[in-house]
Amino acid sequence: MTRLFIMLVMLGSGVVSAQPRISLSPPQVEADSVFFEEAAAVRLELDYPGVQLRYTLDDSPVVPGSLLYEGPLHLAQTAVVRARAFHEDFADSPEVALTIRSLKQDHPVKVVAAQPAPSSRYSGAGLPALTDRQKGALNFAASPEAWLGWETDTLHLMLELDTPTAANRLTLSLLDDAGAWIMKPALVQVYESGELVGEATVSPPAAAAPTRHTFLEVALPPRRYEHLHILVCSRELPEWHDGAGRPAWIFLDEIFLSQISR
Amino acid sequence: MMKRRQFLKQSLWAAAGLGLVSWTSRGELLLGHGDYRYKADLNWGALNPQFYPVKDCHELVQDKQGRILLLTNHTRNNILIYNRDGKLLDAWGTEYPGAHGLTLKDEGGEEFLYITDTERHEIIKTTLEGRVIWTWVYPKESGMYDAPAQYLPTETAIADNGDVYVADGYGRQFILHYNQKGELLNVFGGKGEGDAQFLNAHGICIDQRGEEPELLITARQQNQLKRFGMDGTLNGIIDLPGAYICRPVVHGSNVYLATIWSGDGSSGTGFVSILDEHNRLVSAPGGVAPRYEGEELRSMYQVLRVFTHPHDVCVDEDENLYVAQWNAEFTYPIKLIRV
Repeated sequence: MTRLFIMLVMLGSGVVSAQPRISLSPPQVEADSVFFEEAAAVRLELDYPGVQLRYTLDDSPVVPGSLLYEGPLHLAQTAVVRARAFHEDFADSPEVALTIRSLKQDHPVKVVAAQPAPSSRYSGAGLPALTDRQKGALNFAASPEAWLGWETDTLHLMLELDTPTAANRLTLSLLDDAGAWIMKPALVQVYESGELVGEATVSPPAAAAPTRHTFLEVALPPRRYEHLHILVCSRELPEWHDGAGRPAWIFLDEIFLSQISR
Repeated sequence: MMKRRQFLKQSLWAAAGLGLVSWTSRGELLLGHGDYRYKADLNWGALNPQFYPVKDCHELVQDKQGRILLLTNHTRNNILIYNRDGKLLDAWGTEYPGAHGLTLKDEGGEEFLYITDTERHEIIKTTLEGRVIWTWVYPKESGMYDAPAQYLPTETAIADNGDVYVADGYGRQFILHYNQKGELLNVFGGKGEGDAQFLNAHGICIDQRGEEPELLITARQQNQLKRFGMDGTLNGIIDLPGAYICRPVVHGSNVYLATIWSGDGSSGTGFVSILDEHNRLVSAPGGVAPRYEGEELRSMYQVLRVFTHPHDVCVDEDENLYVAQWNAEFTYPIKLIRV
């Protein structure tokens, strides 16, 4: 009787603590559309008794004092939704992040050539897949139409617009999945008529990170563009990686050309 | 006093049944749902890796002595034999670098093992002590294969008449039906998105719960369990959205399936799936509670990071589960003790 009583008190008070190596899984994050025209609804879920979900929208880390999730988030602007799960009996979940992106400031654009061509294993729905506004799944095999993959050190992409159009930013929508030898490129340069008009460099990752969607933005001088040449230099797999020294795969699902208001 | 004690005990288990309690008084984690709940013994099969190392722990079977046989692709000891308490009894096997599938069959009182090896591209039949009975190479006679490298068999199922069904889950995804002499009788399936085809025909077993025996075959990438007649005719499809199921294991009226990934298929997201006699998901240790809207199961995902890529589950006579894991940092199987 005494033992049972103590046991119940312990359970009620949370004294029976979790084994430290058991953590919650990251929350499920779903958006009705990752790319949206007017607004997007984002839902968080980890359906387990006693779980609290917390989030941020300003790309800051999620901590126990972050906003408590109480229902779908209705967002009208581009945002990074970061979320974690908390429970008194378990270690906090790893963080999960989803970027939702407003298309209001994007221009219609076509990718007319890629050199080299995407790998035959990861050729998706062809080059039109890069401008169809369909997001690829985190598990690239689950949405083979959306992702184009290259195993190369340099990739050249040629972009074309129907008419000269004012723009000041180019964005690549990429996959970062170190376990599958897919990483964000090391360097992206943008050329117009042979002139370098913008570039972005990416630092090498210090360690493997969870699989994630990622965007790489290149600022451009604000003017009208009709033809652009994009040079993408892949990341050499770092020393800590099983494939150290070899080029990481480039996985791309969308390209955006935008006029961002300052 | 007796009534009071009983009441407290019942209350505790009722709370556990509702998922309101995550841990027992002894600090054991409670997993699962409904009538299928388990205490997790995370250290069940742990051994000294200097002496008995594992790489991937791929599959587990139980013999009629009650021993649990684990298949790993570590060639120091491809087979590790445990008692039900996790004590090591024996170890053998150094020639199976791609050891993947392990099936046990009682044939006239003597039990045999069928090992699939994805690096050797072969099926090997052995005794429980590891003596090789025969080795089958790639099925050139099927007309579907030009070279051994196209054949990456992941699993076998053995019928009572000795016929052997092989799932070429990492190869061209055909199901190959042989008699015990090794004569090829039938080929069906193949890679594709058609109902009777597979994207990753990873696991196969014979289901004797109904009037006629059937083959249950996983289409892992499609999150589906497909039912076929023994002649290769498609009988039905069971949708398990979000569940990347490895091998079906029939025990009593249930089907148990190690689920290597879940949700969007990200790394480290697995759990265990348990189906009832109607092939509906009734419990998912490590995963979210199963919930149906009509005939449609909500998309499943992991809620607790207990498992890392579960690859097979073995069910003992007390309905305890032993879970082998792939790519889990060289860890040994986990035991789930039914409560």
